[in-house]
Amino acid sequence: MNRVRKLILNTLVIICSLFLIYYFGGFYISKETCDLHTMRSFYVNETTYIMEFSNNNYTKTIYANPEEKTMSIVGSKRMGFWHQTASSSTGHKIDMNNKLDTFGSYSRDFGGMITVVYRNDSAIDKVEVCYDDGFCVVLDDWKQDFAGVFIKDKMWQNGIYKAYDNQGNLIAEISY
Amino acid sequence: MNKHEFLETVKKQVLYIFDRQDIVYELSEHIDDSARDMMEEGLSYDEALDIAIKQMGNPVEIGKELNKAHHPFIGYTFLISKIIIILNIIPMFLCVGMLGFDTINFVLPVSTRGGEDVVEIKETIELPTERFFIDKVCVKDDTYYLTYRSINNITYTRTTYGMRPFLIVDELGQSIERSSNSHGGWICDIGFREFEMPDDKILYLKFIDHQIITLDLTEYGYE
Amino acid sequence: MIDKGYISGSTRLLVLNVLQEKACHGYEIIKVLKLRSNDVFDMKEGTLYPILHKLENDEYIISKNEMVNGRMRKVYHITDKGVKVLAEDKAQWKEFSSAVNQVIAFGG
Repeated sequence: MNRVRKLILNTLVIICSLFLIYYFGGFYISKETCDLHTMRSFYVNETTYIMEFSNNNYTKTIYANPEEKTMSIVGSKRMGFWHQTASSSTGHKIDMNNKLDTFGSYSRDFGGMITVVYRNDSAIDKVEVCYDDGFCVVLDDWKQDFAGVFIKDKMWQNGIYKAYDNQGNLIAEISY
Repeated sequence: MNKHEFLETVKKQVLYIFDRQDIVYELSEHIDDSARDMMEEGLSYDEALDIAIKQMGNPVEIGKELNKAHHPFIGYTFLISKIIIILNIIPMFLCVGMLGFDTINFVLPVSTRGGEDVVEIKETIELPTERFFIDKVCVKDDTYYLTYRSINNITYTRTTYGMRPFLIVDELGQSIERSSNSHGGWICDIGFREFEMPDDKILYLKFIDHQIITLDLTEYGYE
Repeated sequence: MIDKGYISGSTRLLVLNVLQEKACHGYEIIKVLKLRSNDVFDMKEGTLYPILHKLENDEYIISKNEMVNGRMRKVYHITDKGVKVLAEDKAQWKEFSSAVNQVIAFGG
């Protein structure tokens, strides 16, 4: 076999192996497809994009399914052109019995924690969260009845969540 | 020009350096053969060598033509491709090994090491990400096992991260499994579940997408 | 001395013909050509090697390192592809040379 033929053969082998890495390595060109496959792998059926938080090339995206009342926080990582599933992803069934529900996610490689609240009562204007270590934050930027915050370098903590209407009256309170 | 100078001149024209050694050796042997034959006809060593070298021709021309035959672009690109493949050999071997192992495991019937077949089921269940083949129930030392295989959908290669795609339950939805064993590969899974045989011989398989498949073992020939 | 033009066009034919009979290393090929042609083919010996290497690239011949008279030498063997192309070259040469002969026969 002459050198040109060997070169062509080598190139084909390299292309095949790159394809195997792409196919089994879980590399995606679009973040949406990456998240979609992650959610399929734990059999959730979220349909709507709510919001996302990014830190250091990691992104946690929040998706929800308004009919089934479920939500998920899906982690992904960006490396150059490619996206991969990374840091934890979790699903949650929203508690429709209360006016306020909350869910969160923490992972070390993401670099902090995310708290998300869902308002079941449209009168809720803002939610104030005070954590056990004294740190407090106000959530009032509602996207489709969800509001969230990314607190950097904070490990998972319990806290007390108070929901107020636009006059400052306390409507609901949960501790989580 | 002496032999060394001649060969060096030729060598310099060949830009792909890894072929130079062979070329120089071949030409050197030729010159020696030629000189040896002329010495047999009576010439001295120096005279014979000198004529032999002259008879070779212009070293620059020879070198340039040889460079065309050992083209540096092809030479170096080939070298790079060889290096990439060598670096890749172990991961690729493992990859191919894994895939082959997977395929073999999937195609062979699941063995339960000494169990006796009780009833063959051979049902296929489709989930969005994989396809399940429930094979049979067998018994070993009075314990019942359900064996199954699954294969990933081709557009979807990621294994479920440690989740159980199905559970064997009774009519109330309570698990009747005792233990489970599965071997997960990249594209397929095989496994068997140990369970308590219910009195009415009906098994309910509750899948993770909320499907419930009823297997009435008496319909498959179990008494 | 034969015009170089006549030689370069038919070198492949000459070299492959020698190798079809016997696998040789470079110097042997030169000697056979000189001998057979009664010294008419007395080309610059170094130019044989680029030709041999190009023929090997085209896969008409293949080189193997073999022991010849106690020294390790690169010996060239003709390949099946080479045998085929040699037959074609021979046929073409017959056609060409008979056409030339016919033309000059007329010229006188």
